[in-house]
Amino acid sequence: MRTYIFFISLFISFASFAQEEEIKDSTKTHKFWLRVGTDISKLVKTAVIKDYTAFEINADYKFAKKYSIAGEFGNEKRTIDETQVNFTTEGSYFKIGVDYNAYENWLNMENAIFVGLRYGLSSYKHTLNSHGVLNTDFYWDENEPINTPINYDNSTTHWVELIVGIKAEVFNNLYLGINAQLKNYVGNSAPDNFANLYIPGFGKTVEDSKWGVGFGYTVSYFIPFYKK
Amino acid sequence: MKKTITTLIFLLLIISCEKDDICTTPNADTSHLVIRFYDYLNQSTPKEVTNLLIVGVDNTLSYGIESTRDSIAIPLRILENNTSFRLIKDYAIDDNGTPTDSSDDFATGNEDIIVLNYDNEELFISKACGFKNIFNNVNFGFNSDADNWILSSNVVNTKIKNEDNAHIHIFH
Repeated sequence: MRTYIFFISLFISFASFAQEEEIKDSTKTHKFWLRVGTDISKLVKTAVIKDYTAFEINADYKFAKKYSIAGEFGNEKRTIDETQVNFTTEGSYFKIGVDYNAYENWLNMENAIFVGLRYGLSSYKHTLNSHGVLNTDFYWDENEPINTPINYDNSTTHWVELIVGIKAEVFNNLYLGINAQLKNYVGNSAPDNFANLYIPGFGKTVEDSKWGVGFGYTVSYFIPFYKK
Repeated sequence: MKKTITTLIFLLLIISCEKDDICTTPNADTSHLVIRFYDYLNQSTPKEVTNLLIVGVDNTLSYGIESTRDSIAIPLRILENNTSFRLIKDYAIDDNGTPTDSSDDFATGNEDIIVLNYDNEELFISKACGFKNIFNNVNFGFNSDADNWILSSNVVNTKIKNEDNAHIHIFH
């Protein structure tokens, strides 16, 4: 809960900075724009890795000199094979927040070295394809995994995310970016007699921890809007 | 600000290292059935069973070798709702008067068959440990014959989830 409040306070302080800068810079001319893209790492993994399908659309909209509203929306289907469990997780997620650009651009360039905050929400379900019952006694020879699939009810997780990354214009209006995400979930509904070992948009979870990490490689198209 | 971001990226790379997926949860293994043997006449006094050999019904192997003890821990079948064991007291091999010839040897002892009925429940422990089987509504019985060494029994715990205490008491 304390972490939650910390993130909210950060968010509020960013928002108030935003207002100040907007007023200060209102005399200068600067461009507002929308940047829309996709996470190419998800497309590549979908093509290369068996049992993985994912797609993400991301966008950021500049509303002040150094700030933009940013968000991601996507879905993921992933099968994870561990020693004792083999399961498939499938679901959708969205993230919304603000990015702060720390990079001083020349003229009309819009490259970014950014830090941002997100609120994330994911809705998904698990299917347990096979599972092992831990039995270190081999007397009855009943130690093989059980292959009867088990379907679990829908799960929901929402989290707060810190994102850092860069975005650089490589061709006219086409940007390539790389980012890293640190997440901490504030709400997580675990299914009955199983756990949310993988969460679409959040990633793998670690036992007894609310933390998650993620990486993204984005390609996005830049759409200028209007000048003030 | 740029320095802060670089530091954050570096921190993220360190945090993303996963801990090893080894099952370390205590008590994650499926529990054995624990039986304690007591004196029939003085039912609070433990009493050893001499030269006890344990053999699962429908199993070609014995569970360990014969020994004298006042408690045993034996595995229940997790894919069936019942398990039976032959408990042979005073187990011995009679060499039939020919110590050098093992072909005419035969086993002696007093055999009683115990039967356990139960419901299986799979409980999720963790990604590394998987599931653990729990035996619910445990029911215990023994076949009566002309010469039972087991005289009576008592189910102390109808749920087998750990091996901390005996689940069944047998009086003899």
